Amino acid sequence: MEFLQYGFMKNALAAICIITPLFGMLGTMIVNNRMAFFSDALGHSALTGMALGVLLGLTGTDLPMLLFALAFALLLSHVKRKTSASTDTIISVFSSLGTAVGLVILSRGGNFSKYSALLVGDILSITRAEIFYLLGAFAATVFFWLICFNKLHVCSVNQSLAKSKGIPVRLIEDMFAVLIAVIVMLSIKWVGILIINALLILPAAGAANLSANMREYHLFSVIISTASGVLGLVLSYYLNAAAGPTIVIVAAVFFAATFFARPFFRS
Amino acid sequence: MKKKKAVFMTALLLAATGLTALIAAVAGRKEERSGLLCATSFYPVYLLAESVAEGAANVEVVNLTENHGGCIHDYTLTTQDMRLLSDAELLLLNGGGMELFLSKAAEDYKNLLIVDTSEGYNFLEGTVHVHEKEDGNGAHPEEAAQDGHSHALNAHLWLDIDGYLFQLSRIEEAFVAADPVQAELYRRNAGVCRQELAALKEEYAEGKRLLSGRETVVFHEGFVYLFRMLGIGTVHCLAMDSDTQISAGEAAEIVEECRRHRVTRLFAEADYEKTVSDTFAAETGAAVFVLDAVTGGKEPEAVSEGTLPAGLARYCAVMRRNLETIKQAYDLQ
Repeated sequence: MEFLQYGFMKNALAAICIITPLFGMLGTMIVNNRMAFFSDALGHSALTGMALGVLLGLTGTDLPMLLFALAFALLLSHVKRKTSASTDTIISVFSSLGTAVGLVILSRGGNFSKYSALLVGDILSITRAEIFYLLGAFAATVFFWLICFNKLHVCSVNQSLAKSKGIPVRLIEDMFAVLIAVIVMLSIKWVGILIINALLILPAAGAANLSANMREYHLFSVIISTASGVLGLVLSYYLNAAAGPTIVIVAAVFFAATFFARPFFRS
Repeated sequence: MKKKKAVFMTALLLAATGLTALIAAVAGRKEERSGLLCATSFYPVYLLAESVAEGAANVEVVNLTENHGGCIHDYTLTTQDMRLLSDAELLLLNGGGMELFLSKAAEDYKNLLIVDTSEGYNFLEGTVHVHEKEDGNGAHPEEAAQDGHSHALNAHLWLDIDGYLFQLSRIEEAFVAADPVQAELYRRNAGVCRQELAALKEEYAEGKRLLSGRETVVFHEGFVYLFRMLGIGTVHCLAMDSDTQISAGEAAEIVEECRRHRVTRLFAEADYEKTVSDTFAAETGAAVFVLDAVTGGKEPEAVSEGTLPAGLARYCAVMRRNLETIKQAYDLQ
């Protein structure tokens, strides 16, 4: 356990142990509700959020990023409900716009290199205080899951059924969108825009290959996510590779293993 | 079925963990280090630190950015770099806002003596546009300063020999403070470097007499320092070291400026694609010449220069080649 003698690795490991189970949990519902594209668009909107922060001359860009993502998520849900165009088209429009506006503002005067770290992320520079924010997000997600999971699940299966049971579908969906926005924004600096969605989707997709029910689905997703995170971090340390992408590669290997094992559990 | 799945998951996890442990065991051989470990952030600083510490016992100088070419604004630390920083006692920075990738990381290493080798140096502004008549493009100094980032400075001071001399003194003092036992050696090495840089400066002063009064457009911020030494005005500087495409408006402006100032020679940096400068060359009929900004390259080797430390010999060789190229560009040779 040589890698644990370094402060930056301890912090990174602690952060991974909070982020990855969280991603595993959220991922299941994102895959179920077919929102993979939605979380991806949210990640891209971080560019615009950061750009707004820079335009307003704020020193920290975390708050504008978070606020913009919240507005973006709610607006997206709203437009999705109102129009008849297909969801992926709507999301694609929002996603491209979010990226383009961010790029235009951030690349003014040839300065984009200052922000390009956001694309790849840097889990190694996480600090103690930031780990506590993540812990807060973790608690909020678990709380939401305990209170709302069943309702959200019904909504994802059949909206009419949910409405007939008196479930506030809109509220639940918006709350879920807000939750995803918060988690994505809190972790985007550490994971990076380019791969954050892979971390949300891969573990859940791998778990779906094996699971027969919701309980298994969640359990496997959290296990795969956490294992990918920890093993990926350790590997990146010894191979001197970037941490985020290494984690994604491990998660992809898990997905492949479960994919090929799938026929053996179908009987 | 449930049991089968549990067995599968356990086996999968064990296999993955085993594989990771195996890779860790193979890749994790630890290098033993003793004595003073000095990390540098960037190639020009590394060359100087190597030169000052040449021949010192138990001193190792390691460059964080692995002599990687190009500018390091967008460099991110690898785990190996972080390990190096944890083990190092001395970290030498270029300063001037160059080391964005260290701004946060450095706070975590409390035992590390961090020396900003350009502290107190009078930087040029990070100019892109040096015309009197302003027209609302985003690169004005006062606007750049407002975005709260130190990158508004032109941090490429090593391309000015006086700037490099400034850094030399800072590095000399840093080594003397960190390892007083070998102070004499550091002072001697620094003295040799100072002499050689003074000679190089003389050659540039000679060049200034021939070249002064001309105007050009450059495709690397650092060249503003280089041309200032030669008395050549840089009417426009396009910072190609940032990974941003230039806007159409900016391109038109540069072409206009080339025409207005009758610029017939453009200077680009070796590491960056020549395509952009070639486009301008085609548009304006100017010729493109390639210079080296000393931002990366081979490990310096002690070869011809005899008593001259290898790092400095490399710097001087590149700077002499640059001078030759500029002279040739203006048909002086």
